[in-house]
Amino acid sequence: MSVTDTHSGRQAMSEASPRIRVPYANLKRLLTVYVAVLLFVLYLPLGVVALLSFSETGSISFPMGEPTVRWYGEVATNNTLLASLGRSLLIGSLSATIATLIALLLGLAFRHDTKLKPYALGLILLPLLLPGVVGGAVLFVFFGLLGVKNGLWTTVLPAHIVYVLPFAFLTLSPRLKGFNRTIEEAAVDLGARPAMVFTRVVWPIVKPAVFATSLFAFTLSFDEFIRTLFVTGFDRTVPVLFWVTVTEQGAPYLPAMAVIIMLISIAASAVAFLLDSKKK
Amino acid sequence: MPAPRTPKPFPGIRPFGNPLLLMAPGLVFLLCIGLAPVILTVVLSFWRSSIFGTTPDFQFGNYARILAEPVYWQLLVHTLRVALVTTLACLVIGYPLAWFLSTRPNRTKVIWLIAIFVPFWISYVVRTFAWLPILGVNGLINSTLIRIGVIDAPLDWLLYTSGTTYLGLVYVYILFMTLPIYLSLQRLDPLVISAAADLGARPSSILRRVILPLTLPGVLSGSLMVFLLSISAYVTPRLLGGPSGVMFGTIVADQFLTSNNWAFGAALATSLMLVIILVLSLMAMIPPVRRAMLSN
Amino acid sequence: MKSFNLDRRQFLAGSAGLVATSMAAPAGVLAQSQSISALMPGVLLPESLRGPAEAATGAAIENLPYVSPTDTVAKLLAPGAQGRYDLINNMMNFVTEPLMAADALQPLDLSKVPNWDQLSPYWQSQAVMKDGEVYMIPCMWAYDSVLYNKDFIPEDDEVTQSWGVMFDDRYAGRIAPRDDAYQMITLTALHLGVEEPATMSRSDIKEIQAFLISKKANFRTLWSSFGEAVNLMSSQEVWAMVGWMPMRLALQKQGMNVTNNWPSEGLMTFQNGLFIPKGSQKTDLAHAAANFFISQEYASELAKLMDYGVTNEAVINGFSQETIDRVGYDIFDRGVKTYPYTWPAEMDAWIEAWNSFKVA
Repeated sequence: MSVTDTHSGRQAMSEASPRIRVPYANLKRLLTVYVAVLLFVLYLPLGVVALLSFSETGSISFPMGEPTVRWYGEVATNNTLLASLGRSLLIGSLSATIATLIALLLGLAFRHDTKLKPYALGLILLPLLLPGVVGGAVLFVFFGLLGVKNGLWTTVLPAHIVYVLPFAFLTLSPRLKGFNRTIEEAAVDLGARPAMVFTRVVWPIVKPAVFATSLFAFTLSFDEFIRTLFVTGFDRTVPVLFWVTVTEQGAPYLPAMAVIIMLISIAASAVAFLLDSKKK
Repeated sequence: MPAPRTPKPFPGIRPFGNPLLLMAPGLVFLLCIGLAPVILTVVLSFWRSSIFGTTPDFQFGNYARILAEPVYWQLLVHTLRVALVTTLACLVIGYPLAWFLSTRPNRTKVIWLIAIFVPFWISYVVRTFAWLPILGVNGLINSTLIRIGVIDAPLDWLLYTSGTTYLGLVYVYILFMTLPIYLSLQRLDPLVISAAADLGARPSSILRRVILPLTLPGVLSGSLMVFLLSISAYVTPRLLGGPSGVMFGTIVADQFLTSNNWAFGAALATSLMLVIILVLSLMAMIPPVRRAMLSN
Repeated sequence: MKSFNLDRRQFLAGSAGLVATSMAAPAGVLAQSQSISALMPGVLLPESLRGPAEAATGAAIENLPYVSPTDTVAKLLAPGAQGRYDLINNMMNFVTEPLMAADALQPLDLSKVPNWDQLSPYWQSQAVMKDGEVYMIPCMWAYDSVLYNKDFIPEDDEVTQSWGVMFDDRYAGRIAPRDDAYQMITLTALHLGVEEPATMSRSDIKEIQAFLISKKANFRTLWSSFGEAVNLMSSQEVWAMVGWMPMRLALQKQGMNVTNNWPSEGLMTFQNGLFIPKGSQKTDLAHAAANFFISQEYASELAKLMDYGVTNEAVINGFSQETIDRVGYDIFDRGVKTYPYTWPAEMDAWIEAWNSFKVA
């Protein structure tokens, strides 16, 4: 599962983890209750959104009247959501692919000892240390002064790549350094050229990590909002569409829209998760 | 974590590829789209902006305005407080959760992890908005409490107060704290704990002297994430904060998206960057934090 | 501005510029079909009118997220703005002064706007002219007032007929101002007896700021956009708020017992005009779109969907007396005191005062 091992870059769930003993038995019970309450709070808003998606009244509030499915019908016939979903999927997969590719090259470079490394690392981590609003503002200024017109390909895609790149690098680079290089060395010893070493030795080893990284990069891009808000043009991504729907339209079909996106992301993540865990 | 000293391994055969060529695409991209915008923003912060446009005359007017108008100071202090309290709250709430996750048996661990993750697969705009029908005057909580007779009149303070902002922030960012702590708990060697227990350490001192120090890297990276996310919060204070739902991030965003005072917005953004650098360097001066950072 | 443009060119020559232009290239290839960039409030281009509008224009109308008139001026005068926008629909009495002063607009070619002849003589006379050429064509008008829920605030309460309903302690905690420096400070100034808010002094502004802060506890929250506002009223989170005519209609359609007031200090009114900024490369399409936005088809739909006032003579003459009474299309004849949106002399100080209120 990609999301679990992003921030440290270590494998989390694949390794067997012996249980840590909790000293007090009643603390254990307390902890269970605590987690149950927490889960309830975590799920409460989702439940409410799902509930309100069947509300009869035109406003997103209680009381909600007789249950109805008409908002789902409205969302299904309204192609702005579908168009936004398409855009988010496209931007997500493109930025994930490009960022992972760049991160892979950077990771391979980082296996060497060069004086450039600390500077390069600073440059790579910079976007990570900029808070969202600042990250959006600097791009807004940059594209504005250059006269680049806001759009999906002109501004949103570069903004997403620069946002997900540090995460991709941090996830991927430890895997590139971490694996046993004996095989690689043996291949070189036997006369393999660099291209062959990469395709026949390194790539098969790092492939799962590359796959996991791009998946993680995709989820980051898919939910990116604040930077996108700064550089978005007319073509909205899903989070921006949600924002516009909440604030400008207050559209009664918002909960239905959210439920549909919710189901799609859960299904997609579940599939990815299953694929990923099958591999291990 | 003080790493045990190991003898330097045989350096081996050089990895393939020219490091400069391999780095080139990434570095060029980051220089252009990562660093250049930041530099440009800092430069712009010395320009002059009015409603009639932005002109490149070098001056300190924007910073003078930030320093002279108490409103920006108050806002900065307020925002730092919100970010710190949110980070602490996430830590206090997230640590036990991470502990719980890391102590699940392997077969059910995956299920627990998914259960925690699912709410975070939904756009945080929606997750934040969803609190309105829950906490409102006619919301779920008020109507339930009135129906079961606990209260007669709706509780107004549930929504549009600073408490609501904290709730919203902790709700959307708790995972960013839980996850790194969980990962560092995963890496914790249970033998260390057994050893401490065998040597007669009481549970409370095991927690304080063994577990907490060893999970400090996770705590730090989680705190850093939550701090950076909440210091520039935009959606949550705007939707849930009520008449005082303003933070530094909303003011910065307003300069660009609403009042279009670019130069002043750039100065505010630069100030925020400076404050963050300052806070992080202050934190790095605390010895245990410094050690954990270096070992990471 | 001249020196700035030079700077920009030098900057473009840099490597960053190369990257950006190489990224812009594929976008140009992808955007084959015609489109114009418009800047107008979403309520003036509802989904049901988008199809007809785009058919009449012969191009997609990409309406960028709209914020406020202040923002529109700023966007048009911002660095790198030339050529970004093709058609604007905004409050003409508010934005004319700064935009004309900055020479930011192109004269319109009325031969490409045949529907001009369908405007009522009054609205033709309201067009913005300079040296015999038309720069802005009026396309709609409206007023902003306090919308209130009659279930909670009785219509016969005298305070409803004043902006004072926003500040009345009896309705404390159930009031929502708009998060907009200009509108809130203007109506507060009117309420406090300032005759000409637009030109008031800094000490007047400070006084208004202090008054707003003293009433802050009365405000439930601030709204910034259409959807938020309507939802606040329909969920009964608030009982009164500054609001727009289409909000009143939307709430009434939901069955809410909502009406608006006629503040004795002066109802805030505005008229929107269509104009084409300098630098637009798609003036033919922009003219075609402008022509649609004053057509009979558009005006009658807009009046029906939003309750807005329109400028097309045939549509104006077609309103029933019942509609006129309900919407208030006759406010000017009725002698309701009005205060047209006016560009304030010290906008920055207004924005700062409003921010201070929010932080307080």
